[in-house]
Amino acid sequence: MILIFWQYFIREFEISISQVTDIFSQIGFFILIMILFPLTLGPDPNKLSEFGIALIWIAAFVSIVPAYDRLFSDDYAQGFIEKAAHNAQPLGCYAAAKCLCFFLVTTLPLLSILPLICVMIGIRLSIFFELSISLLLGMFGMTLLGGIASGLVLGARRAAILAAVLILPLSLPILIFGCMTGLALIENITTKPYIYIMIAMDLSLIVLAIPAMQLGLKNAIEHS
Amino acid sequence: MFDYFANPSRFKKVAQTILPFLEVACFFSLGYGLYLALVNSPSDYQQGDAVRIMYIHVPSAWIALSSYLLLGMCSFFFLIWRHPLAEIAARSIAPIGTGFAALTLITGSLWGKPIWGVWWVWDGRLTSMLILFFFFLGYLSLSNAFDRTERGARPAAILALVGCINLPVVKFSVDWWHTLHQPASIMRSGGISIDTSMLWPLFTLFFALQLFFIIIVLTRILTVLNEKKHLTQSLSGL
Amino acid sequence: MVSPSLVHASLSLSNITLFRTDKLIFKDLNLDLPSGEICILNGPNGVGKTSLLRIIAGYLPVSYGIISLGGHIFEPLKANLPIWYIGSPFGFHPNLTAAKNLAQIAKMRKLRMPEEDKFNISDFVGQPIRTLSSGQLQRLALTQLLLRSDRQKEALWLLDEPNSALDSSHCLMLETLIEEHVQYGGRVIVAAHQPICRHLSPKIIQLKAQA
Repeated sequence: MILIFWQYFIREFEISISQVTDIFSQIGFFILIMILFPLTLGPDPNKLSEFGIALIWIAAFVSIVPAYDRLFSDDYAQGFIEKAAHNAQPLGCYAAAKCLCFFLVTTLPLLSILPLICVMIGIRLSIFFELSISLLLGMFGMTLLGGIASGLVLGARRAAILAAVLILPLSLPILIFGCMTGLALIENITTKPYIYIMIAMDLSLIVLAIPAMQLGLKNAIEHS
Repeated sequence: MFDYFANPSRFKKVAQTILPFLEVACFFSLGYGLYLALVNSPSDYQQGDAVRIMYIHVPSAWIALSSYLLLGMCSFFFLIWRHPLAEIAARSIAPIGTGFAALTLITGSLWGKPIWGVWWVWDGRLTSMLILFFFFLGYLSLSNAFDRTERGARPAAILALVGCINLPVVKFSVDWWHTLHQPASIMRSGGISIDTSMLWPLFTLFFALQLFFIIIVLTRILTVLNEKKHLTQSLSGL
Repeated sequence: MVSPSLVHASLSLSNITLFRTDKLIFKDLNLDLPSGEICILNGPNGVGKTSLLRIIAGYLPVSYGIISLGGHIFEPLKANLPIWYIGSPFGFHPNLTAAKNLAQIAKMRKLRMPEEDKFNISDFVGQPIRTLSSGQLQRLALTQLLLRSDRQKEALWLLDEPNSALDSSHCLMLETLIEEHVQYGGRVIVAAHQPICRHLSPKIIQLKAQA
């Protein structure tokens, strides 16, 4: 099982490398959204740093949600999911590897430019580490939700917007607790409870998402 | 494919027998409840007559929430036992639940204007209801997003189940969010005990609206079953 | 799971019926396919040849009917009878090279790379899939059938128009390959417009358009 998981992961990674411009455009999109905020809220540094954490979360969500519907759709259209169904391992294994790879190749570049963003909107860099942890946890949960939605909208009309409509209400707890972690960081109080809650949410999402993705993919194959 | 009609036909018979009784009961309880709520109950010493909106607002909130849970249950039955009736039931419940959630939001907003002075406040309950409304919308748009209707059944059922599991988490996080950002001092109906004279109309109207919900859902299910039966007959005629 | 003793038992389709959106595609199909035999699906476009192959591959649920192997219900996705469904789309990622795609499939199914390059894929293995012609794609897809393991001899091959884009020499190679596979006790079901493997006295299912 672990071996097959690893095979799928390598495959995903190779594909992501071959489409590395996608990652860059995603990061570009994220930065552009962040630039919109000073332009719309005004350049007042106090205001920006007050809202900064929330803005980062919103920009991260908005830049990543449109990418989710493509999580499985390429493999579906190319007939790879059917092939994976014939392996001895369940499709959930494939879906999990896919999500993990997607999470890594989207979130890590995001974190790498985060210090830049922090400087731009006046968030002090001393909280960078904990901010990254909360973003990592949040984006991990988001990827699992995105995986569920992506599996469900395979073959649907206007799948991209539909996936976003499905993901956003489900992702509110992640957004709320993610922002709370950030607020606690700004106010210099302990972030532990929020971090623990986010870990708990991520773990339960793993349990929920893998069977849900498996069901969704299986259903999509039956109707292709 | 059509062998399951053995069971739905029984369902149809039962539903058709009880529907008239439900309709009569709904008619009278609705009339009586409205009489109690609008005429025969005291107005609130702070809110005045505006409190009467509560008699519609609170029951529809309950029904909206319970119908989402019901939707989740039907989806579960459909996914596990592939029972087609459960799928039809889920499909029939969803728009009605959406309607009740919308009704809750509208009456909440109407109620808020005289009491809070604004049409909308980010109250914990209102926010949760808004999210529930979006859950319903997601279900509806997913189940209708496919070129063949039956193709959307299973994805929508999976979504409803995921939503049902997620609902308490959303509720919990919204409550947490709300206590953290406690606004100055808004009055929350939940914090104030309700007098018995107001409970009676509340429960009567809840009963009436619940009956109304059941009647509409049953009628919708029967319509779908009749449609399918019609289709089978025309198919077997070929 | 299919127990090893059943692997050579007869694969039988009984009364397979398929509706799609309440439209009857085919009705009461029957087939008995012992190991070492070949079956050919014939019929014009849209009569359900691909659907039937996908049913046997386990992708598509039947509306009525039973597929069984040696008297036990056959569950293609769980069975340990190796199944190869070769039909468009082939499941290759367009940005990766042909060699990489083939190696991935071999690894995922724990198979060894083929010893012989029967479909001459060495001409283009270094190219990304998106640059290949449909004939080259088909040759690459068929090369999957050459991946080796101890169990591949028993495999069930489901080929959906495998020769539609092949040139005559590769068509011939495909026929030899099928013949060898059948001789070693494998099973083959082919949907084809062009005549194929006539000399192997295949079973033929003639699908007709339904009213």
